[in-house]
Amino acid sequence: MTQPSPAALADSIDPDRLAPVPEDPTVADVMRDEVVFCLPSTPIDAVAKLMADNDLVEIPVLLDRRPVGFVAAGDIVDRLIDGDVVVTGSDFAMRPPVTKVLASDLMRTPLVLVDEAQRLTEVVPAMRGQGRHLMLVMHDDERPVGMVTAREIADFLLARAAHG
Amino acid sequence: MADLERLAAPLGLGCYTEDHLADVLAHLRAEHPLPLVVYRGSEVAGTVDLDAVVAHFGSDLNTVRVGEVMQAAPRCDSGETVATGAQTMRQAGSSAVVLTTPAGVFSRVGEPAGLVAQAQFLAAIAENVVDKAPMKMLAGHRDMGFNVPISPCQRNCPIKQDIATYIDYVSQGRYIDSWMVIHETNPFPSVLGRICNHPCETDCKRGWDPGEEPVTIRSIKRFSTDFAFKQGLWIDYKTKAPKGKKVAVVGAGPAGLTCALDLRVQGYEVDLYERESKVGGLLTTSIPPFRFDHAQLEWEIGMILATGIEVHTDSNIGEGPADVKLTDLLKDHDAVFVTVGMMKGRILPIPGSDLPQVTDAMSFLREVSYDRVPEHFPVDGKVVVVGGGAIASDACNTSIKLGAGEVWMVAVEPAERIANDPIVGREVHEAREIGLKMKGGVIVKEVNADDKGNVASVSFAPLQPAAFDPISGKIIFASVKEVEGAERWTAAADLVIFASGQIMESPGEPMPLTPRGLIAADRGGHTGVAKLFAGGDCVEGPSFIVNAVAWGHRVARSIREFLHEDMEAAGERLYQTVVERTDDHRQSETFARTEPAILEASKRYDMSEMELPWSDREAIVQAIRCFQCDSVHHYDQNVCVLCGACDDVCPEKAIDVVVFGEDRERSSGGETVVCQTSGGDPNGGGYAGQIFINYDRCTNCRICEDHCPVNCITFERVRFVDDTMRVVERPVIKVEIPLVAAR
Repeated sequence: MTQPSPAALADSIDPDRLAPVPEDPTVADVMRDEVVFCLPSTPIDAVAKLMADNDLVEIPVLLDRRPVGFVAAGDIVDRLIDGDVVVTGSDFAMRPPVTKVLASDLMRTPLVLVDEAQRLTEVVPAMRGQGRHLMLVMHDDERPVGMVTAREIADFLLARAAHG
Repeated sequence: MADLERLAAPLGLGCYTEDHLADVLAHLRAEHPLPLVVYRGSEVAGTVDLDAVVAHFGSDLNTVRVGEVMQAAPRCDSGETVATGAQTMRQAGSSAVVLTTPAGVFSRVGEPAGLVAQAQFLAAIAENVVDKAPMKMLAGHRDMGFNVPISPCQRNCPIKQDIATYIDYVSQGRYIDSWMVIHETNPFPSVLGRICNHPCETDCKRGWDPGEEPVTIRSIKRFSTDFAFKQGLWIDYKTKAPKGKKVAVVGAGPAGLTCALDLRVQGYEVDLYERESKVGGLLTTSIPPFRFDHAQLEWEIGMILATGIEVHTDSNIGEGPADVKLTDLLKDHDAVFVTVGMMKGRILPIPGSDLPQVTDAMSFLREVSYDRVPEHFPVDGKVVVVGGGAIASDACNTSIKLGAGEVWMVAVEPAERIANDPIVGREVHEAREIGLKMKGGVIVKEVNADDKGNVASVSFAPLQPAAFDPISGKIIFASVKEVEGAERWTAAADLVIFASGQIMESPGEPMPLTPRGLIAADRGGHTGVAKLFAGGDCVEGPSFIVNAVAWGHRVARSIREFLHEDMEAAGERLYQTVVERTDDHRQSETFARTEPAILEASKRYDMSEMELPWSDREAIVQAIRCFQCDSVHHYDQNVCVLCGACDDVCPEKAIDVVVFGEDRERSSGGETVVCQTSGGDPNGGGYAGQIFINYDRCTNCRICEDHCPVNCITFERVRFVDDTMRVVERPVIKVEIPLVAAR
């Protein structure tokens, strides 16, 4: 007797009782294991630095560890166009604040929140459907524990391709 | 050098319009966050970045050409200002701008010379910031760096019940207060007091030490609820002034009812649609009455519906001729929350599964919930249940109670693994006591018929020992292999019940679905379709009831945000805090954990509830076992003299008293500063110092309080009510039980 094909075997098992497979990992398997965030009171030049330093197009805004919204890079660039924030150069000398605009002024909602146990194949379409660039990963206890952006998705695709 | 030119990156190698995304993926990742320049021949045709990969996630990237997904590449003279460059980029809807050299004498258009992407504009702005800027980054999985007195049980509870408080109230005999605290976030304590998967107990500090066991939190909740029910009490929720906005909730299960209640008390009109003739979802149609008292559930649902929720039973949302259309709901309401669960049972597509005596567990249990004996049920006959989860366990127990002569539970998992499962193990054990037979480690192959075309038996193939994922506890599919040449195991059967998974029945367009057949939505319930929200099992897959309640709370908040409710302006702070001084000295180590007794096996052959209630004494004794982790030290800094007595007597070595100028040992590992006191300048004969507590060690024994010579220590509870769930004024209790307010 030979083994049944994987498809025939799969037909005989409740799919919800099967562990996630490497081709369809959970969010926790691929997420960036850190949360980069700003506060509503963070000036937008500091927000820009956080985004630039961490390759982000969107950044979560947390208040007392609770996600309340996000700031999009495009909105900061728009403020640059409007002159609300200026580019002063790379001189690190002490200088007065160069913007009065805060993250709360640009904050958008809703932030895309996903559960760390959700499958990547399910949450990426949800993020894409909302035209968004970042998912904040939440633990069961309502604490943010990670992030998924285009960078992590690309890393997953590259790793999968490398393993055939 | 002009500012814009200073920001520019070289054009680099780039890629071509004919390239496939798969070919350039590694290059895109290496350049991220900068895009790649896309060439058509030698001309710059556009740019492409990782967003194109995300947009085609799930597709074969080998079939997607860069030219199909690239963005426009607006051009800007390198001599322009940064603001002009940014404006050019934004107006084109692109994420980068191509810099050109100034036009020469013989050409009107300059040559591409560099690239400035959105990330570079951000980096330029970031140069304004010195490291002292008020920014904060969190790194690490759990290191959130917040000092909030929240107990481990509450932290682990999906709906953040104020567990330590309601347990404390039970220990004081304040049962009704306890019940009220539970209802702040939990509309179904009668159910969750009996069949919750209790993640709170998993993380109870009482169970941290070897040989110790957690507090029986779930059963204490049941006790308070039983008391209120027997007293005939009723919560009269106060609703805010009408907001003039209308929300439809599709599915009257635990998530739908919770969301409906949260929105109703905030002043929204709520239409609740349910395809069954009764509300409750799987609580009333899938979980049999021997698991919990359905009269109590009806009482709790009555309290919710009495807030003025419009209930439409026998109303299926779908695309059939008699169905209500989702598009119509979206037209008539300001928001729609779909929480239809996974109510259809899956019958595995094996030979013989279409025979008349084959059914699925969800249909079987639904029939029983309407007090009907399911079709083809063999009284005194043989029933085979295929599956090893909670639904399978309920189907087995129900079959025995309906009078089947022989009931088998047959599963892929080994029988002992099922019997030791923390969720269903107890239920399976109870069923075995009344006659359930189990067979594990086999896979179903065929349902065999007799000459008349009726079910006669079910055949299973033995499996080699399977491997299980250590994190999810689920079977690793690659390890599922039949034993070569082994004889099939056959069970005689008159009825076969498949408890082999559930299916989500989509309410139709425009609901976005995932490849797995679930609704595509994020954790806040946003689907990406305007006004449409979804949550619960239909998004997450089969889960626990308490998670469904959490979905209801979360989506209610998302809907309020979507409808532009300014929650801060409404005077609702993110956290409402109430400080209570707690005086009781614990005797937590005196008693051992006990759980409610189960009805003796000989009395378990009908639908009577199996778990027996606790007496006052049993409940209070178990409540006293709680460490009250939410009660924390309060040192009166004006009185403390930093004598160190609390440090010396602490049996858990959880306290460090640090006096400036003295070489005292710090061994607790605590970082929480609870006292900063000063009695003058240490250099001038005075003293100053700090007291640190390690709350991972502290067990609230209060020996420090007893031994403080200046009586500066008290214990206080900060009641930590998270408005993510709901904050309402304390409800008024009615003395009479009104009839259930279903309309």
